[in-house]
Amino acid sequence: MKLKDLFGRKSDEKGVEHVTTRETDSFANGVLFEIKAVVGSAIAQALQDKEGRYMKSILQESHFLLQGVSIKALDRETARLMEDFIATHESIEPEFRRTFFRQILQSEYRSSGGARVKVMPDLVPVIELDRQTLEPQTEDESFILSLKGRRVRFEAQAVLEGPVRNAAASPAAQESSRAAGSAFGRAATGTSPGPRAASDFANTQGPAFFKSSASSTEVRVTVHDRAGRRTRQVPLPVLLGRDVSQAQGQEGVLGIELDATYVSRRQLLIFELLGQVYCFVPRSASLTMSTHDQQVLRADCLQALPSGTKLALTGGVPMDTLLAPPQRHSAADYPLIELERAEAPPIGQDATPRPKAV
Amino acid sequence: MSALRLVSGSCINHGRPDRLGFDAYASHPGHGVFVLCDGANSCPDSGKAAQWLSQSLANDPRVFDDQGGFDLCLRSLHRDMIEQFPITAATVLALRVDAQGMALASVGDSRLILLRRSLAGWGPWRRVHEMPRDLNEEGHPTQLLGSEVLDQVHQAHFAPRGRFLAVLMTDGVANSLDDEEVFEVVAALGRLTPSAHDLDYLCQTLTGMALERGCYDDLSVVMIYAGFG
Repeated sequence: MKLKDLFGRKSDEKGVEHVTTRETDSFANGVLFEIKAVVGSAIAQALQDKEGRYMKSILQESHFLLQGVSIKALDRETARLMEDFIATHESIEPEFRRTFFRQILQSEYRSSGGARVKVMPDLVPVIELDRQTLEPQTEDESFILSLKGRRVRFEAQAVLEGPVRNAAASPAAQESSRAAGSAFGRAATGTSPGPRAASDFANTQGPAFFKSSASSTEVRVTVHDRAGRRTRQVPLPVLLGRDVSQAQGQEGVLGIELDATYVSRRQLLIFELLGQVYCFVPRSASLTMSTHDQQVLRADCLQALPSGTKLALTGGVPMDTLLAPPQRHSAADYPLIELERAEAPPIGQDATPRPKAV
Repeated sequence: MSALRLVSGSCINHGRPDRLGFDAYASHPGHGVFVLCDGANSCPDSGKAAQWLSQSLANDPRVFDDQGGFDLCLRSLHRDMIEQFPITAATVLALRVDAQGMALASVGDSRLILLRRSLAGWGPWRRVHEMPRDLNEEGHPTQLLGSEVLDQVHQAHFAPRGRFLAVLMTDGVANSLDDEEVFEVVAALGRLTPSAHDLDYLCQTLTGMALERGCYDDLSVVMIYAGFG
């Protein structure tokens, strides 16, 4: 301590102007930290309850999905402040609730036992206000709280689903992709954008476009890459590339990872427009792909996938070339993707017949 | 008499909601009897018939008959089924486990693989038996319970030694996945006795993989772990 500190203001604070924090900001700061801790504990508790039922070897190859979190204010004053806080911000920014809670939830939680919980980026916790919290505290309750010291204002409960195998796309992501509905089909009828316009729109609008373009149409995607050959039938829209995990859920797109040397982070997007299926290489990709007859796909140009046809695309083509390079036989370097529109057989057509005596 | 640890898990009728309901599973864990049936989906009532068949067989004391066992029981139920559900048919996969060993039975195109831990329980799972599938060249079943054709009830018996895992699959899963994929999923089981949750997870994983392949059929898998000694 310096001598002049004994006679008034601290020397370090001389000339410093104190700005009083607004009430809402102070509430936001406090509440953010507190809810984060409470939610973290709730997820840890839910994970602890679940992980004991499974073998370690299964926990290592799988993960749980956070199905939902409910946060409850424990007293009347907190419930009122929370309600006001959210209502005020939502009147200015309708997406506030999502933005605010994105800061609270981590993308992944782990337990010491080796279990993992993945959080879908579009998950929004539920704030519960029940009758008990709206009733004022009795004197006894206030006294008990003051004796306990720091007042606990929230409690949280987390619900997990799974486990889900790590390699598989999360069912929740598929479900959210389906549940987003075929709104794009309806919206498109009004505006009637051409194929090229759709590609531009997808690039510029990003998440909003993908979320609204979810459809019930499915494609069968066969990938040959370093990991071998695998086939999946998936709902649209689908993004293939080196790192598509972020796109999954966040943009309402189902991601399929490509494990090869010459592949872009976001290599190929497949979507449905007015009942037709199209794919294109996004402008952000550094490499493009070529068809079976060596035709090079140009960035942002749509390639149709007609019903009943198979489209084979090989990766590793530089963007600035019009001729596909020869000698691209190694799937570990140049991934091969086969696309086919999946047509569901009419119910009854694929039915198992009843054996008859001959 | 050797001690027996018996654990089961299942995932039944997984798939597209508009095409569900033809598979049925019933068990009597106290008696160690487990039955998976798949109704022929060309006949609307086959789902109900499959449910009736699985429950009737799981609770039928005649499966413990030393002389007839599953054969006696299934032929009798076949006649009852023709009377009660005249234009239906169903496959059956059945398993009876007790301290005397393990008895398997099958009719139709569903698939039952029996795996055993090699190297006295310390090695990986190896296939020790697979029940015959009754299929013609077109991939359709050649005989089914409740149909016009029931020639043979396939049966097998195993002595009570070692740790077994029976994987029962209806044709939706069986036709979508190859052996390698099934074994890769099963390999996740550690050396300890699995819990019912572990087996449920493995069954869900297999049905999920078949669904991803684009299978439109009902998808059902049952796993039964039996550890003797």
